[in-house]
Amino acid sequence: MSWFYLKSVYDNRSLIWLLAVTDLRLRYRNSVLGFFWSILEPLLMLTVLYVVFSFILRSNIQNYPLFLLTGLIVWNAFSRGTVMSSNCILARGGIVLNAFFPRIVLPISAVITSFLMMFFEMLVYIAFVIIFHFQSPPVAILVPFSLIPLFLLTLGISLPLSTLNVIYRDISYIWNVIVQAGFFLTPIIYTIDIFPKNIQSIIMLNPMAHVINWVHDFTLFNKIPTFGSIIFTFGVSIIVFVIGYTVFRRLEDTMVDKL
Amino acid sequence: MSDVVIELKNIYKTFKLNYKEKTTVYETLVTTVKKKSPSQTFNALSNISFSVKKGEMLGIIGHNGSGKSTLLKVICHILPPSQGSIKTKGKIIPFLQLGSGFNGDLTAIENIKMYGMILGIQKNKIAKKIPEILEYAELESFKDTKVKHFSSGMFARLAFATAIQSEPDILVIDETLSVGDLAFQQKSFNTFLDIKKQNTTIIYVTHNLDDVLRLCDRAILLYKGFVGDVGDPKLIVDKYKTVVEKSPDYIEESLAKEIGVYYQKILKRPPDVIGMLDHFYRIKKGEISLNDIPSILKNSEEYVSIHG
Repeated sequence: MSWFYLKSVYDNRSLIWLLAVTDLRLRYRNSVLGFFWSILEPLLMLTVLYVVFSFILRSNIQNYPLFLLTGLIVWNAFSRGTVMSSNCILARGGIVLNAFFPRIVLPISAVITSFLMMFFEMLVYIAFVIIFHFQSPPVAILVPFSLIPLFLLTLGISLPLSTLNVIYRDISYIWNVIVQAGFFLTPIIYTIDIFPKNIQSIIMLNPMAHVINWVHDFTLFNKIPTFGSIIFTFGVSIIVFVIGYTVFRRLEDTMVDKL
Repeated sequence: MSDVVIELKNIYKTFKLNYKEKTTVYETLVTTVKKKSPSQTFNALSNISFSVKKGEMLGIIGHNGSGKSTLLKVICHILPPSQGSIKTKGKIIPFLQLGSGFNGDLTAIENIKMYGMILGIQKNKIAKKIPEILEYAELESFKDTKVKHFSSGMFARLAFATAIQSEPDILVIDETLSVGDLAFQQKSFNTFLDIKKQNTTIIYVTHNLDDVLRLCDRAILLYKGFVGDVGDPKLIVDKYKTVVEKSPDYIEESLAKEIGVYYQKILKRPPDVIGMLDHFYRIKKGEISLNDIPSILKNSEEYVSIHG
């Protein structure tokens, strides 16, 4: 990693923030429901999943609505961040071709937008907790800890996606399908123990499964993740981020020719 | 040579031709399996070398498609060169397609902030300058209007007014001085003269030859991606006029390229425009064929003086 480049990213921090906040505002400016859509969207999704899984498939997880909601919020931050990033450079081709600034600010700001939306969705969670008189376990304050690997993973995947999608325009469609599959392969609507042990260990190779389990453990089950899980998740997230950053830097220049 | 602020050495820029380019994973897989012939390439810039001193104003002239805009983008570090090296000193501000960074859904003020920061102006500074920018662009009464409702002239005025706040060391302009109506053009031109007086290095691409004669210290004639000639604006503009008069539309890229290759091989330099046009004409008239070019070059005074 070149420090000079990282410094230029740091120097552009206010641009990153402005891009992220502006994108967020624009999302709601032209819609009837405005800001409330960000709260309504996960609620509607939650309702559908809740009806399907608790009445039709009869899941017997405790506090199932909260279980679903926390998983959805965290997964959404990841899926929305990566999907938005995959298009962020292509969509701003005009400015990329006519001004010079570190292009990395675009995917970073897209991921930040996604995380800002996640914080709004967390308000829904808090409302649920209050409405249902749910006693949050004390370890719930550790939730921010799980956001670190979540951010590294989201950004680490977003960086190469944003450049690859300029070179191969169907990358974002392919990624959309992968994300949809990922939703069902991650313990969001179910707990991992519905599977036999050998399949569990395969599913737990997915670092997102760990992050979501942590959030469930923190907010519902009053548990702390195992040391092994922490090491694995942080290790994989850092590796994904470093690889993603390296790929981005490699493709950053050649990508511009294809815009 | 401490006062050299831009130095290009043997810059090449090669593009893969678009129609054969693979833009999806599917196409890439299919063509890899079928082993299709590799895509054709196009040299937008060939062996460009020159340097610019601090405070100098360099005009770049040439036909449409001669590589002017590509060259500007390489100088601004927007496009990486395929070969060669480029060194620049100081903050470069490109005035290329002004306003291309504007977002139609944002208001004038929001766009000033966004565009200004993309151009590298400090956040606090841009916030302070907003009234001044709006006044300059004559758009105070539209400050909260979304720019998608702007006319193209208003759009350009806003972009120009924002961009001039960036205090560049090197200003790179692509035909963007003719912005807005006559009054605004005059105003923007005066601003530009002020910037020039502040010892700012300026690279100016234009089709307005009078501007080149009036303002530039030196000029470059680009021809089919080669440096046709560099030097005194008067000399270069005259050459360009000759090129324009002589150059018919039917000069083919491929021919220009092949002649260029002979020049590189034999005379170790890119072709000069006049010499090249001469070859074109004689080939077109049927006096000589492409295969005669090497012997013509080898009999030239220049070759004899190098090789004796």
